[in-house]
Amino acid sequence: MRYKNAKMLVYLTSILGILLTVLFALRGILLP
Amino acid sequence: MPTNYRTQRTLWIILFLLLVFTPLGVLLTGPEPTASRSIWVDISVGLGFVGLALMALQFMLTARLKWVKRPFGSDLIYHFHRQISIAAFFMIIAHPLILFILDARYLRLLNLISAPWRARAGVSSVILLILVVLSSEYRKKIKLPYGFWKFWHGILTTIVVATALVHIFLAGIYVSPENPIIYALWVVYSAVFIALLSYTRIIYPLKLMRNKFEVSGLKQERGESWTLSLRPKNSKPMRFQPGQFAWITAWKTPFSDTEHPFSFSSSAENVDTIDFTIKELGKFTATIKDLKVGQDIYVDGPFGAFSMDRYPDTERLIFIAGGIGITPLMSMLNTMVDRGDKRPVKLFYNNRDWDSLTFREEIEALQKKLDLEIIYTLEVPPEKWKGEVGYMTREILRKYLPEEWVQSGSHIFMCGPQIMMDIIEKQCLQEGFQHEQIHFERFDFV
Repeated sequence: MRYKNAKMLVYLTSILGILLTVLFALRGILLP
Repeated sequence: MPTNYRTQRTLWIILFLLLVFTPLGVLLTGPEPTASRSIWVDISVGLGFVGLALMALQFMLTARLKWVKRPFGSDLIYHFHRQISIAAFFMIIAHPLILFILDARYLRLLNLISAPWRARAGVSSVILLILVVLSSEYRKKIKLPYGFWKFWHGILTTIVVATALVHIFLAGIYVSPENPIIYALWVVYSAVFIALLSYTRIIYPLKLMRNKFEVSGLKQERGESWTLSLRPKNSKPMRFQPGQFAWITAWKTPFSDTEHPFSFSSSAENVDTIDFTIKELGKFTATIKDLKVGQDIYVDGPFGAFSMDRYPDTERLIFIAGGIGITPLMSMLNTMVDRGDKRPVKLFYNNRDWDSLTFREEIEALQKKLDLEIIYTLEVPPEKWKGEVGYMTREILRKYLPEEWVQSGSHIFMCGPQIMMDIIEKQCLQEGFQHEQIHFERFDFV
């Protein structure tokens, strides 16, 4: 269970990292 | 699980995510760089920033900071370190790959002779990172000795992060004095990185050298194992929870970075002398029998979350040992004797044969002092053996665990070969145990 939770945190960090990167790249369009 | 560990874990995870994403988050709100850049260049740069922040944070995870490891357990921290490093690796490697696909002229930067220093630093960092990841993933397959790998892993990863930091400062597009907040942030990250490195490589080994232990006894056990007894030489006794482990350095100083993890096998209630029972399985463990009484030993610990003390509400204890995996459980049993703990215990002890059962006589003797039932399962039983034969199975569990043992007050602690624990964990879940009731110690986490 502990190991599964650790894996979930790896996925969460990776997904958040990619989303934030895309937001960073598109900040000129998406952000005011 | 005591609530304070849960709260600490939550706070550490929030801090971890903040540290990973703050650099990119700050860039989002800051001014756009003056140079005209495509979306794909920014994706490449963004992934690089997240990957580098993740990589630098690995030094916090793997530094010997007990307050970081205590809420999680070292095995989990190393498991996470391995997995998140692979995620960071793909993000970092994507940074140059996207640039190469975008414009083939970037490939010229691979020429370390003609490339500018910012590219030299970046390319060196990525090449060394590839080497680090491959050597870690395939260490066992290519039979790299653990001590050799560990030494170079420490050095190479330091160069990887240091050169990557040099790269972002020299590139100067986002991290430049014109963006003071992001510039200051990366200066702080670099300073923390240097501080952690100094602590791990200089201050901590010095601390260990000042707190020496010495060999007070060495006893041969069944199953090609040795019990190494240590007493503090010029340090305070080491308090630990039964089931935990410590890193031991013998023959060399702590600066050599060649320590090995071993579980305590003695009682946590008697710490004037601490015991580690070690099976001869490799190059280092084969030298244990050559240690001399009075010889200096450096002990770094305690570490680990595998302990019955972390679950004080437990009413019934189920211990499952495979081979030398008996050691942390032996510590729990010895501690229970010293505490006069009368909670019922069922010990399933799986081993190859009767003669190589480590602590056989000691465990038999404990039956008189504890409410302890022992169930041996032997792969190669002696003649006229009436006990269980082969590996642990669901049938054996069912046979010896009445229904009341599969209730919330029961906790399972198991230690042994990974494959054994994976199978038994599944069997226990099928029998109705909850994930929260099953705890295991991995010997192969390093």
